[in-house]
Amino acid sequence: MNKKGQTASINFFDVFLLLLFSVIFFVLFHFSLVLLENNHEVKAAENTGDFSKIFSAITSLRSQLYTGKLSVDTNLQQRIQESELIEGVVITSCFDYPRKDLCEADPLNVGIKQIAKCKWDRNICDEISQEPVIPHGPLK
Amino acid sequence: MNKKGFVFWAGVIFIAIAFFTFISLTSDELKTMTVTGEWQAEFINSLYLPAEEKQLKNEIEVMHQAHLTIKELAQQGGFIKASKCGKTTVNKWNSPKEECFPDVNGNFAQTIKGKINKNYNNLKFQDGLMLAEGPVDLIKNKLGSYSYSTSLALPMKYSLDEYLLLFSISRELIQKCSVKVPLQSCLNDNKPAKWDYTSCSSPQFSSASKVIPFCVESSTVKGPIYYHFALDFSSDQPQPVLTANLKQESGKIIINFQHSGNKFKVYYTDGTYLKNKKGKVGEIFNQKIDAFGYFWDSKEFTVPICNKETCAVSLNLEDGKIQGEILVGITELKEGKESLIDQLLIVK
Repeated sequence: MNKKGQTASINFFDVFLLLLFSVIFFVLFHFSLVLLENNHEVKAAENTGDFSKIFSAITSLRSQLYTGKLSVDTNLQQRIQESELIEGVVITSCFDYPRKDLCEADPLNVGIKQIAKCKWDRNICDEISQEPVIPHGPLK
Repeated sequence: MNKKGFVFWAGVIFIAIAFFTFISLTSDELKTMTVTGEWQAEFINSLYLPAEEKQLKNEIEVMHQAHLTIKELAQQGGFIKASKCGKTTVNKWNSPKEECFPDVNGNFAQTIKGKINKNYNNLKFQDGLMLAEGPVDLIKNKLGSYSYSTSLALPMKYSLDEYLLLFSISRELIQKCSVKVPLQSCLNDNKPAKWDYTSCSSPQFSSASKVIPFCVESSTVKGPIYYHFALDFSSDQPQPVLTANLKQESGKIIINFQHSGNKFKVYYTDGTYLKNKKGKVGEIFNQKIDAFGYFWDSKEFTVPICNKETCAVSLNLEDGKIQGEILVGITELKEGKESLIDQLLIVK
């Protein structure tokens, strides 16, 4: 190997170190960007989740209203805030439980909060009032 | 520093400068880089969802007030003021001279408008829904503004058309039972089973008057409602006497019959060939009877002895003009008019 070749072999090591530093810099940069993107995706999913939860709660309360089971005194804000996700379903009231075991167990106590009991009846989780019934004449 | 060290460190410094130059050039963009759909999510959360919640509150309020209004109207027989036909304990839907059915659509709209804040138009019931055209509401914040319609389609499972059915049944009952006695048995035979006398919880028939209060039960999605109204079965036309029985006692004929009138005319003749005749008095009792050589006469009775709906009159035949079988027919007299003869009964 002549002198030129010796100088080249020494420079190759320097270049290798330079490349190594470059790669480390860019890998760090890349991961910081990926992390940022992931955080944004999580935040976007959370935003969508919040919307879905509130919208489902409103829809559930509206369907209760349409079946005559929502009182005029209902605190909507509270009912919406107390809604929770179980097995991918937003539970606002008894009617939202998708299965008999969940309905009768009522893990979120949505029935008790309405002074009622969740009862599975004809493939629907129904809300049975536990308030004393005031007679209003015979129903035929 | 030898040449080798200079090349290495110069390279490191160059890469570092390049890296930080890139970072500084792109930092503004990184700082302003937002979450995907963040604006949209904020818009939905701060404008759309509050609007939905507000609209739901609105629907709850309107549905509650609609149920109360339907209940109140039913309680007052569809009226918001007293019926022009008068009132007993409840509003009357007719008098002997006219019908006084309420304008329930107008009364409903007028009553509910006084109870809710929003100005709804074209309130109506259709296919079990209560429809109303509401104004457009606007929600504003720093992101922008969101406008939404407050019009409603609420499933009340009720329609004011129920009144039309009640009016139609009432007309039929008035037509059938104003002329028939006893009134209670006519009503029992013709009224629907869901119609109760006076009260839905403790039905009670009062025969003291021809004005009969009714209670009819129905429901909306929010609970039962009770219609209260009265029908007047008295008539301004004299009514034929439909059922009577006769007995002869020492020269007198005692006629028992059921009617609510207070002035009657009894026709009698020995022309028994007339026994199947019914209709206008003038077509039955006229000069033809005389031409055939038979006798006929009539007597008026004012306020006969009546016990509830059973009345009795006594016809004195002491003049001896009639012998053998005689035919007797009764009519009611009212305000110068005379009813038809419904039947002629034979007395032996």
